[in-house]
Amino acid sequence: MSLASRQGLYSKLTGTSAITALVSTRIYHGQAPPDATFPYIIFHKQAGVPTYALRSEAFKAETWMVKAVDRNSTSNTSEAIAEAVDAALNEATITVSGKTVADLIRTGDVDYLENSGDQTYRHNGGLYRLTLT
Amino acid sequence: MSARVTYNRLPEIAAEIALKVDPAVKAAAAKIAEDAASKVALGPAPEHLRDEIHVERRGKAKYAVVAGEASGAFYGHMVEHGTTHSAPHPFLVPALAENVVETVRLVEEAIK
Repeated sequence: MSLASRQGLYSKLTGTSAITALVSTRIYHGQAPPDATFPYIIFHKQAGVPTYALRSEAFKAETWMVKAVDRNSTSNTSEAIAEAVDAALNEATITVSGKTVADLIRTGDVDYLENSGDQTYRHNGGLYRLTLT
Repeated sequence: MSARVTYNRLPEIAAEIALKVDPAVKAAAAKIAEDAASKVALGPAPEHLRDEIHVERRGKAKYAVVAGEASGAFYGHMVEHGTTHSAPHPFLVPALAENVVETVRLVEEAIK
């Protein structure tokens, strides 16, 4: 059950000029198309745990990963994108259709290199907890 | 003339609590590791990622659930967060998120 959250996050990311200045509209859910131009942003729901009260869902805590991916010899670009994402999302207000957003906060970093052939890909971003009521 | 001596027991109490809850935190970490293993594919041989999910002690009442070894299945983070060629298949974060309530319960039980 993450359609509304996904749409809310996508709207926030694509509606932030500091982000689109760096990646244009190259913001993908789960995986980028094979021919995607670098850098880009990937976002994906990593976990979702509902809490019930009186047999109905009282609130739900979702963990979303949002990361920049770049093919580059340095992490400067991917880190700059990650910072723009963090400025847009951490403790921010987003609209999730049919739900009330209690909070959206950064809970951890995502930071690793991926070596494939003679290429190095940089993954930089964060994990964000989205609490919905 | 007067003298005041302040004796702060807070560090001592904190150390006692850490010692007391250590087994509970260890048990919670073991459960998270078990759940994480149930959420991930075995992984390619010879060092299967699923078999390399383990708990490491990092201090009093501090444990880490680790997936993989630098010399073996080093790619746990890539499975969790994805690569340029594959989508994320999270197993550690959901295992942790699903065990938060139980972890808090175990720790509460330990300090009662």
